[in-house]
Amino acid sequence: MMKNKILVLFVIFLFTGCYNYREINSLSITTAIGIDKKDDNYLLTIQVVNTQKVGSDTNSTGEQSKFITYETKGETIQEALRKIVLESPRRLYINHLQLIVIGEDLAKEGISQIFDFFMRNPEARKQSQIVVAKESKAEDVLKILTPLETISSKNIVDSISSDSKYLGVSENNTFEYQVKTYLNDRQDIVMSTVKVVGSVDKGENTESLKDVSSDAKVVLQGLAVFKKDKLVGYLTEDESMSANLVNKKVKDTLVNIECDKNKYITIELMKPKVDISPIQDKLQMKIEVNGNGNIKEIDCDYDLNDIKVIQEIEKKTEEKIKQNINSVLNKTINEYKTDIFGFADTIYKSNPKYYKTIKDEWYSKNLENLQIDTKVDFTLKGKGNIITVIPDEEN
Amino acid sequence: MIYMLNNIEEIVRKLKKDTKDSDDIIYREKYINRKKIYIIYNEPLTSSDKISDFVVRSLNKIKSITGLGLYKKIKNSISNFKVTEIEDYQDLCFYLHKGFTILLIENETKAIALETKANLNRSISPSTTEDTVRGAKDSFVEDIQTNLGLIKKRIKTNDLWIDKMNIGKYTDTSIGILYINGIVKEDLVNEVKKRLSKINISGVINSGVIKNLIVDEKVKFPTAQTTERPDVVSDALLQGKIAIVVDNSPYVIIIPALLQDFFKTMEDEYGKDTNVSFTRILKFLAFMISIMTPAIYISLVTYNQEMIPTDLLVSFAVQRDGVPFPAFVEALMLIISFEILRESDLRTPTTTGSALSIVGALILGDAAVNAGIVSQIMIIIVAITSISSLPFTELEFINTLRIYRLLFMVGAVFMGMIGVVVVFIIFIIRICSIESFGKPYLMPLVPINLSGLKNSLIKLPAKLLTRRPEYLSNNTIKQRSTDDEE
Repeated sequence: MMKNKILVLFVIFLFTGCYNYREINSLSITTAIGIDKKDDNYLLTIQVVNTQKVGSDTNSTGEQSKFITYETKGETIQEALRKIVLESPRRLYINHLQLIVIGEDLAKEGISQIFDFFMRNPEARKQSQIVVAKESKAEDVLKILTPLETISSKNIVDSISSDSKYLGVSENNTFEYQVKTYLNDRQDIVMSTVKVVGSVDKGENTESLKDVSSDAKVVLQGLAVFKKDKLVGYLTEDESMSANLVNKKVKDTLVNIECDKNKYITIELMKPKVDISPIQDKLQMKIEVNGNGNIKEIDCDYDLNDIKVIQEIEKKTEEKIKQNINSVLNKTINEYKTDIFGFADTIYKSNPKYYKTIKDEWYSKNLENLQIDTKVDFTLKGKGNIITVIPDEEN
Repeated sequence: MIYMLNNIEEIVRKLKKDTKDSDDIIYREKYINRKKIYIIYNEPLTSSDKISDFVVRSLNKIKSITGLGLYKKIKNSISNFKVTEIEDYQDLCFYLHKGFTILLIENETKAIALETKANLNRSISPSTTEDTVRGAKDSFVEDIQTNLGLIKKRIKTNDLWIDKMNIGKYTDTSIGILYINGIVKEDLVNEVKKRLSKINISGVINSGVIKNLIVDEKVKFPTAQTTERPDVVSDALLQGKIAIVVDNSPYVIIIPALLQDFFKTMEDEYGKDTNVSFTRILKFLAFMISIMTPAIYISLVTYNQEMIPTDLLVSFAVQRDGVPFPAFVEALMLIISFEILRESDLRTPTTTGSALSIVGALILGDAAVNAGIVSQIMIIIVAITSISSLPFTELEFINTLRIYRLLFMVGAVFMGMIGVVVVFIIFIIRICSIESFGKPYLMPLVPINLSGLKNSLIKLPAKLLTRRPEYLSNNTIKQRSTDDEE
């Protein structure tokens, strides 16, 4: 009996042969992969944590970078990824992948192969962010050093997540969500974009971190709009905010309204409720936005105790929001001819039979003919800590 | 051959021969009315004051024998309370080695043994191994009578029954089995007596010897509790447990002991229920940390790197960088070093102990990290593991945690998190199968017992703890509130 027990324990532990044993120091922790296309080859930029440097305080001089970037080429993404061994001494470990950056050129050509590769790979983390490098190459984005977060890809990811909390310009969704939306076929995808501002060559140098303002920076920009798997255009920051508002992704954002010539009131719009409902059997859509907010900043000499003034501000805000929404609707539907708000999906969900009849001509005819009625209802909840307006000197 | 006690010269000759003319045994001759009397005593065990005061002085007062024989005269006039008649040679030796003074009287068939023991005991002092903040400060000493007294002082009833027996061919150690009649379960008493009667050993030096001989040897976890605090023993007796007091040992065995008993201290009885519950949950956490932390760390850095946040992984990777050993070997090295340090600290006198800990802490900790042999994070892991095993008072328990810690580590190094889970399942099966004198070890959790659960991991307010757990006693009513009509 005892012999059997020992035998069972031996089989359990020893016959597995330490499958998948890998010491942490034999891995290259990959935080970001940038993908470009160059002459029919994929050009991969891989950002790996430099474990000899980050976090350890002993003899840190700041001379060495917190991360290392490798570049490889290959006809497929997998081939390029494997070829990294020629350069890197350690195995690439992409379970902790945080960010996938797609170069603009490749995004215009189509990104379905990227979706396929990362979904197929069992090691790749599906929770990573995917962004488009606006007007630049993915390679450049990943090479820039960032001052606040030690690893630049983390800088971008954190930036996106705080933006989605306080501003609402970018798309804060996982890679998995994007693929799901793409495969859904009734909605087009949008992606956050990053852009390199300044000189790339200087930004790659650790010296640039010592300056008060870095020479080159990576900043978030408005959304990139896709039609199917191809990039068709970009939205401005204001448009992106409105797009996110309609897509119910805004938690907190700002609306500027002009109260006088070149004088503005900034309203903080908090937790807006958006309702998109189709009209039965008609190519009509109703968008209702319900929101409330506070005055954050005011430049005009308004008497905020007057209810009429308040009502006027509310009205102006409503108009402004409505105008923004209409402009982004116009741009995506009429100019880019994409359905990033998933109107097709909304119709399908509320009336699948009707959707079947309009499905075939959706992009060619029906989307443009869709009548969208926008209604905004805004209530001013607070005026901040002071009630009166601090006047200009002239008054 | 039977030695008749009336032939006193022959008895003395035999005694001298048997003890190889030991200098320790003193033979003093004395004559009363021309009758020869031998005063025999074992010098290291006896108090010469007592002999002069109670024996010799009393004998000197006897002038003449009128009517009664000399034997009865002596027995009546001795001013010593504890007087025993001896009828044969074996008894004589027994009493002689217990510190009695023997009076051999010429032509008498009986001898007299008088209690003249020297006081070889230390006084009652505070407990050193089980300190409390607010509990009673006394602790057991080596003398069994003192120890019994400390318990009887607390439980004043006829129902506190003591079964005495002597174990050990050469040591002839007295052992007292204590229980409260009416609370304890009879079969438990019988089981303990049965196991004790089976013991056939040359000597019992400490209660630990008895403990090892009556518990099941196969299990790693201790199934009997040892304590040096009389209040712990009294409380256990009131719960329906059995205490075994062994002469010459300041540690009393309490039977049965379940897993939960090692999480409880006497102070829990005095503390507020919420605070006690908090402490017990903390101890349970410490228990889990103590056996599993190194294993989980090893599986995280060698197999399951995807399970931790990226920042933590990077921090681990940076610290592990340049360490020449695999994580398992690194952990093993540090744990063994710590165990050596602990063992040496226990054995060295306090004067060198502090020097030892400085050397240990500096060399093992700081220098090893600076030399790049071990990583800082491993030092943290081993430190938290070791600290977590210390809230328990029972040394056996702490040492058992050590064994399971190593088993978990082996599981982790072969199969990562899956290995940890496999060992955990084995651990749970093992611990569930343990019995302490017929009581399931995980009582009251497995099998579930409601009245026991009220005072296990979480302690309910004292007013609600009105019943003894059924598994320890048939008489379950412990406390009756005044408005209880039951």
